[in-house]
Amino acid sequence: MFNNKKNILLISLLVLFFIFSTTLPAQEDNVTEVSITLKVPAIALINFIVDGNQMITYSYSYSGPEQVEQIITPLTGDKTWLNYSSVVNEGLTNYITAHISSGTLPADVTLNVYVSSDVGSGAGLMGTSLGKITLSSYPKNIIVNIGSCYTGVGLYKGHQLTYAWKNPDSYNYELMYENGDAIAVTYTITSTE
Amino acid sequence: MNKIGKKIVVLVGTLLFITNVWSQEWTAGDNVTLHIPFFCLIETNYAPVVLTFATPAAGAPITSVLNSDLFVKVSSIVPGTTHREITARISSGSVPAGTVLTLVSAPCTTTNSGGGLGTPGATPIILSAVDQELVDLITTCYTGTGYNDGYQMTFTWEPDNPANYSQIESINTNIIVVFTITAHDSN
Repeated sequence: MFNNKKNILLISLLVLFFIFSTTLPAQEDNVTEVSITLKVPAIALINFIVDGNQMITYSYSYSGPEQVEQIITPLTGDKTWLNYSSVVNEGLTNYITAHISSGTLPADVTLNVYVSSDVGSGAGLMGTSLGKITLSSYPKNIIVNIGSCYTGVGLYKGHQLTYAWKNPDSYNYELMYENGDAIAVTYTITSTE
Repeated sequence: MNKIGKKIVVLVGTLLFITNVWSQEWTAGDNVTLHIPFFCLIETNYAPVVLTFATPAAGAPITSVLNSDLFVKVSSIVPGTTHREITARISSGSVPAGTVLTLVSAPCTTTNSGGGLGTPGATPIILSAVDQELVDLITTCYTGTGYNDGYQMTFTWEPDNPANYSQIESINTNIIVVFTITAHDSN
């Protein structure tokens, strides 16, 4: 039975196969790997909330999640709160600007806004308020160096805005509003990118 | 029929006769050795796991996001009263700063499985570079091989505590999570 060459070759191959199969490293079948993708999007969201207890007219314009527009009157006063959420890229910050986006102030009227510090209802690296700004049609920084943070949502959260009118009697809100020329202020959150 | 053939017939006949005669007093039996090797195999359904923080409302924090697409499948034979565990760790990459990634296993699906499929831990593990236990007391079992057979894994990704929120940065990263079914004698 073992005297023919074919059989000898076959047996040799079998022996070799067993030797190799035993000397090969054992497969690590008790381990398996999975790739997980984690994505943190950059976030820049802004909104404002107005305390409705005061008889005011305000309008909310959602031009994008990073921009809101508020129609203000001499009665808007200090009832507005600015809320925002921010997640920044490494080394960058977000900042918020304000400008008069609609309407024209009489020459003898000045409109200031005081921006309070964040009241601390959220967490993270809150922006720094620049305090008092005189509003114009050109965007001016009001809050800068916003890191990854959130202010919380609602009244008494984030930064309180207080509008102060110089010589408000020259500004006839009722008439302006009817003419579609009410003063609107737009707040924009932008990355330093 | 040749000589050998006749001898075998006689031998078999004799054996039959002997066992018939003595069967009332003796139990005849062959010593059959059935060798079952102890083994364990683990695999996943290779579901892509992508977690993306959703955009919140202005003023709100990013909230947790979860993914339950991944199933882990095993086959296991263990000796005696021993058992195995499924553990998980991060072998490559790291979870972005200011966030935590947790993982919890559901009990094994029942459709195509059988045996001692073990018990998942009740509390999600916080994934790290160190192996942590997901399923314990796995004995001899199989989970099934279908796409949705086995232990369904739920990854939950969320911001760490608020004090670390400022560490979060916009990022797109990959990590490798390694699942291990332990040796039966390691317990």
